[in-house]
Amino acid sequence: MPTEPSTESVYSDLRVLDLAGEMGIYCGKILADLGAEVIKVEPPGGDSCRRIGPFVGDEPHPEKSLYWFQFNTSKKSITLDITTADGKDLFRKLAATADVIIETFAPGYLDGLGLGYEALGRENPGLIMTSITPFGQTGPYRDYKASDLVGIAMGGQLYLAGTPGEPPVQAGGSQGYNQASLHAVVGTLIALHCRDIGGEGQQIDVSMQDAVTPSMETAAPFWVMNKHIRKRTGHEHRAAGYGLYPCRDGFVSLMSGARAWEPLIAWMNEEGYGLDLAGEEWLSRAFRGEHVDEGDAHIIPWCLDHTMRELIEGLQARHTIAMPINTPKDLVESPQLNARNFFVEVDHPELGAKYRYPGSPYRFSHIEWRIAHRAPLIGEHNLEIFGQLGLSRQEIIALKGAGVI
Amino acid sequence: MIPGRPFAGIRIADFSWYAAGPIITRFFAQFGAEVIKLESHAKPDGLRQNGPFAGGTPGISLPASTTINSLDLSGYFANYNYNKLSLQVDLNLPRGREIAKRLVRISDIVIDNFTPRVMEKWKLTYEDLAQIKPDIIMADLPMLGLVGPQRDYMGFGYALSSLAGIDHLTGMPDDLPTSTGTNFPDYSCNPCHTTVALLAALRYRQRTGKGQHIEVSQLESTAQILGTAIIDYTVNGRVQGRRGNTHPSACPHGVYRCKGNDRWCAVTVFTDAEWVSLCRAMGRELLATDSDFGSFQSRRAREADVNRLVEEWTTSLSPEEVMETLQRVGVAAGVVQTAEDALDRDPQLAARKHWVYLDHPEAGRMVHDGDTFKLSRTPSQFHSPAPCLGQHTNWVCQELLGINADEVSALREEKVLY
Repeated sequence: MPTEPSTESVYSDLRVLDLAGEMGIYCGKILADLGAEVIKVEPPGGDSCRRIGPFVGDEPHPEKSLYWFQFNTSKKSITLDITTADGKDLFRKLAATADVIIETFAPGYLDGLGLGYEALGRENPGLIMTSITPFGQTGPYRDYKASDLVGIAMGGQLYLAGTPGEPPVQAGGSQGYNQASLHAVVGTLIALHCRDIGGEGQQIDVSMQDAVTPSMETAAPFWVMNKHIRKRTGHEHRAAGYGLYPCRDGFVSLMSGARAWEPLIAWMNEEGYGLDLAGEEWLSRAFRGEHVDEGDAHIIPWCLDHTMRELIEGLQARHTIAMPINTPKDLVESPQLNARNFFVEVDHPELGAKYRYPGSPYRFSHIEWRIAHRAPLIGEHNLEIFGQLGLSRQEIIALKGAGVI
Repeated sequence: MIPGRPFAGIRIADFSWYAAGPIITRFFAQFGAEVIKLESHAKPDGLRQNGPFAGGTPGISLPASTTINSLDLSGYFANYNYNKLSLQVDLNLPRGREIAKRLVRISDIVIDNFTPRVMEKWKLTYEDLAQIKPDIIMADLPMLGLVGPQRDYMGFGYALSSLAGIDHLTGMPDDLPTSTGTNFPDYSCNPCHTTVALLAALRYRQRTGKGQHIEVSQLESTAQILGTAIIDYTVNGRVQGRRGNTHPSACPHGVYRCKGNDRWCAVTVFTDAEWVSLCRAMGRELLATDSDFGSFQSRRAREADVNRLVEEWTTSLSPEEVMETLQRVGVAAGVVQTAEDALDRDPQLAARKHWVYLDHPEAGRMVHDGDTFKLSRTPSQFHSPAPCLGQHTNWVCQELLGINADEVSALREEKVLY
């Protein structure tokens, strides 16, 4: 799409305090890359997410975590121990200047410090506080702990993935945490919209479990409407021509749904394969679901006679769905992503290197998205942010000596 | 602001279909926007033809296109389209497209998730629509983008998981790539990213009066949620692979068989203190102090033994008993819930009134995903079930577009409104 020469940030007036751990770390990145001032509030010594690998050159170091790099682009960092009296005082002052606070502490933890929504919102009625927890702020499990795996288990997503008879298998990429963050950012921006049109701030209660449930796909209506429990199907093909198929040099994902069957069979027939599949009965998706092996007995040998590229380009040209099983390397080398200049180089002057990052999830004609700078060093913006609160350099140094900053 | 309806006054001309698009407009419909779906008998929202269907046959385990006559019985469709209106108009006809344009002229947002050639063929691209409504906000969500050598590739979420690398990262290390079993990127990733973009564009319009064009390549959107897989390759040259249910810094970390048929509990131990708590909860006091298992490194070195010890214990208990026992001592554990668990047994989702049931005029009682975030001052609304195909054609044409009743009848007969 044509991008206009001048784009501008739409959130440059927004200040966000980011106290989120893994469950909410992506939420702040989305806002930061769109131009909001997102300030990571780290405990002195650095956030525990800095200990998550992998690391540059596999050298564990709080300033070399690729996990930290990936999810904290464009953010600033201050260090502050919010459990100390001085730390609380500074945090209250900072919260009075903020539009949004994102946090992932256990329910009630910030209230216990006198830093919950009720206390901070009283002094700053426009404040939006986004609280992301495993199971939400209410209910009998509100104090339960959860990792990513537990989140997708309880949200009903995990049961649908994996091989029948084997344990259900976790989706790669921490999808429970991602979903919690993604729904949190939508809620945050809806709350901001409310404020923009004259409303007050508010509290947003995000439960990872709730956020995962949409990924149950049709499992809920199948149970309610048909009393049928959807199960995991692994590598079983959903229908003839639907699933993971071996080819000469790897695998392709075929998805010959309603209209995609005829062009597949037409091509196979041209090459002398699958003449038995040309009958009328095979046009029914339900029939193909009931005759998987019979259909695949023709489709598999044909696939094995072709390369991945032949199948994908040939089938897509015939308006049939075939996709590669891409690795991260394939993505970085993808002709489509590179033609679109998807990847972005980010300078890491301390490491003397520039690294390629995934670019924007969306493209606008008028709004700017950019990675303003690499993830912050520990407390990199202490002088700037605390200075704005009226602290002198000496006071900041004294607070550092006291372990507050 | 109308209480609870922050998007009151915002109208969306919704050309989108299947899941990723309609879930975007569902967010807006939940908070008071007027969302009008444009569908036709020739090209209804494809999910209307995907099960489960009211009165359907138990045991059909997967959505399958069927020859079912009614387009109003799908529970898959109902879930993503409550609070919306349906205008039945054939966009393959020039007069159908004229009606669509009249709707765009009084709308704030236009959205579609077709391959790029569809809106081009209909001359309903952003460039076309901005001529008739200069401050329109339009979001296109083609699978691979509007431009580029593979822009015309077709796909659904299931194939997109393969394309974007999620399948490669999912499964057992010694097995083939395994999918999530669903059209995974359709349900959170692509709808949430696009909704963020639309909310940004609304804010921009509020400030400048200008509309704009948004393009979401579903591949680029999904490539965001691979954790560190891309940057680990660009920085370290490492191609991350599948790791089953293991975790690089937690052990035990897995899914364990419990008492009952196909019942499982996820158990994840991140610290040595949690390991001690787990051992005591399992009644294995000696194991708690066994130095062979005292550190993460030592447990990782005998992960198979650790998993066997945990599973010896879990197989004698229900997954709920495992979860409750472990949560009481501060170990993160959770039932691998089936739909029956999540809908009928889970006291947490019940206490949060998560699932929403609405009565549909044709299909009866239907279930819908509840809130994925709860706003304290402006809660979401669930006021009407998904529309039947064309249910609001008369209302939209007469009340919004000013087409009189006779003309509407004529357009119906000519199969323009069909």
